[in-house]
Amino acid sequence: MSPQDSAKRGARPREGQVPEVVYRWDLDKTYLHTDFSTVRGLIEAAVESAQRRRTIPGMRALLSALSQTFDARVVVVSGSPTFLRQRILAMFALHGIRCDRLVLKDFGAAVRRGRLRSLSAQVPYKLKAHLDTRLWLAARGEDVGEICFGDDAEVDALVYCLYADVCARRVPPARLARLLLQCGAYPDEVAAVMERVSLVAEHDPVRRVFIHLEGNSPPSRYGAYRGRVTATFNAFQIALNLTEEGLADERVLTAVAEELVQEHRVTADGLAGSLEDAARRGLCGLELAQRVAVELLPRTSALDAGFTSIFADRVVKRMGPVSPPVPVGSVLPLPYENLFEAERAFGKARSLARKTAERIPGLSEFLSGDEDL
Amino acid sequence: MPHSRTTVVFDTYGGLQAPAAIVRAAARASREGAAQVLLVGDVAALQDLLGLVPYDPMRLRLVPGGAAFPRRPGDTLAQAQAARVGLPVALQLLVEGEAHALVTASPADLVRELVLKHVPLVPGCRAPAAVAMVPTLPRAGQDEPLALLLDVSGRRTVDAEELTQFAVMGAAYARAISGLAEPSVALLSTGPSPLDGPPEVVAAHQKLRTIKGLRFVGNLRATELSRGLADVVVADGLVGHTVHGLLEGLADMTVEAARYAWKTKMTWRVGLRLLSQGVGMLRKVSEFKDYGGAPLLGLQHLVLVANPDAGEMAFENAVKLATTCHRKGLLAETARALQALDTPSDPAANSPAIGGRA
Repeated sequence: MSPQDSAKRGARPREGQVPEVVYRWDLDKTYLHTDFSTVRGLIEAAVESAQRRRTIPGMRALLSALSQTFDARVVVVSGSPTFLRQRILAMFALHGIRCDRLVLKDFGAAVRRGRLRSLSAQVPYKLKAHLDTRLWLAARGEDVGEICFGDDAEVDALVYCLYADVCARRVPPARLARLLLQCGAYPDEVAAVMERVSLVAEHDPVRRVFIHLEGNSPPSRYGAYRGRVTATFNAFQIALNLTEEGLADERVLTAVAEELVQEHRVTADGLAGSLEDAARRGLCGLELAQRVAVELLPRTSALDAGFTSIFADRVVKRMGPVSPPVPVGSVLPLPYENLFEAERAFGKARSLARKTAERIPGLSEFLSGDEDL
Repeated sequence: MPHSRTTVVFDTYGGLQAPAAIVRAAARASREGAAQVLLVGDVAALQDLLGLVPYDPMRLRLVPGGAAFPRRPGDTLAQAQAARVGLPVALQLLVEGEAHALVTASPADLVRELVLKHVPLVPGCRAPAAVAMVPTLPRAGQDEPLALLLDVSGRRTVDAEELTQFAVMGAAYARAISGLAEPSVALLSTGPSPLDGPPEVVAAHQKLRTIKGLRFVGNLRATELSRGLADVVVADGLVGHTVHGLLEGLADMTVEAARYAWKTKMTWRVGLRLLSQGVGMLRKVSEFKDYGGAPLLGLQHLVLVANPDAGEMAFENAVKLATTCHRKGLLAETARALQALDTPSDPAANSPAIGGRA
């Protein structure tokens, strides 16, 4: 049964049934507006109630609609600390999302063992967690395809691609061990990952990797992933791409649009801008873009006629040249060692840029004519 | 007063650093949420540039301008030809209400020609006036040592009526944007006497003295322009353009001289260090290339003309200026001021106050 068949049926997850798809999510900056990388962000996350927790616009509707439309498992692997487990589960319950597996980082254990490097190293932790959850799915006989969702704040793109390649045995064990050490893993962590690799079935489960551009990255940053990563600016663009690929249907698309417009006050111009950008970057075809504008959204009773008419008018009148949709499934080898260094350099540069954003060039730079350097 | 988010449309064909500097500035504005931005131009070229910078597509849209961007960098003639096709598209968005303000760095004459063709003037307005800021000595009650100079369009002003309208519109701008309750207005002339200057300036002087509600302070000579004697200085378009250009060139020359001194002698460098605070202040007010552009007053829609060599910072400032003009209701204030000009004037309303100039 394909997702489309299920979508037509309007299926919901049922106990004991093999799911059609697994949605693998990160939390911080992918689903939630949180910043677990800072002490302040951690404190805010610890004291904030489930009701007050802010999600990334449209993501709640996206995950909720996806998991209600298809027979799906929802797996969440996050670098958030374990003491937030109950609050995160309460939030998912409030959002009407059944989270089947939630993996959080045990900061306490790392501190107790004096492993300070583990606190910041994401690749070894996340790869091991993804493999663990894959084994959990396999043990239940649910060895199905996955759609992965991450963000640009850390190394989600690299981890998801590595996870796919490791499962498919496209990365030799010796290279994987060296790479994990380069990424800050302790030797026993490397051994733990290698053990799980030997247990997981040889099969690439990843159908699509979406990276939410939350941290001021340009889309070109993901060109190095050779078409294996889809960079998106918001949930609407993810929904458009999934619909274009036949991995979601119009209900998902309209649910996301409704949340964006009704709860986050996105204007017709804003939605049109997103749609046009998606079409130009090959996330969806012209046909779908126009269908969304003149057919799907105007049919939605939740959006008023004035809004949908302005939206359709903008899209139909102003749509420029578009790129053909990017083909899915092309798997080219990736230079993980270089990618990791590039990701690390990007993170450092971004942090430096934040610190110097308000800095005014000094007299000596001005008079030397070096301001633009 | 309008409260909706300001939408700014850019003509991406104009300017020596176009379209890259415009794209970077628009991308930053979109991320900061300063305004909704529309970029009119060669969509394929713009998309290539956008791929290199972070942006928010919910606040940034590309609109086909109908012409390809010239392939050869610095081909200003081809750029102007492309702008002749693309600028009307941007103006159409403005006139149809899809945008609240337009920013262009295309050649001033071309902009004027196309603007007058597509954008209606405020009822009663004879001609639009281009506004520029000029640095002055600090003035009491003013946060920034800047005065408004208009018209700087480069076009010869026809008569006293136009100069009078410029004065009224300049005062409206100073009230709406600079927040001055009673801005002082002066005429740029050859001397302080009401009889100094060409006939249209002499006639304008007489007329400005009679306008109720306008604080006309008399004539200013070019040498007095930077002394901070008036908030608004009115000049013939060609004269204003020349004066503004001279000040800009002088500022560039001063910076170059300071740079030369910095690099040449250690003792001069030490001297500049000691003067660093003053140099910093001078620099802040004299960096013309970073000014956001000159609004054209007297139009029913907001048009900002940026310097042809405007860079990323200037275009970012243009978005901020456009947003301020929109939010503070500049168009309505200008229209009100021009409408009031039609009402009967008071012969004894103003007695010029700049040191015995009446």
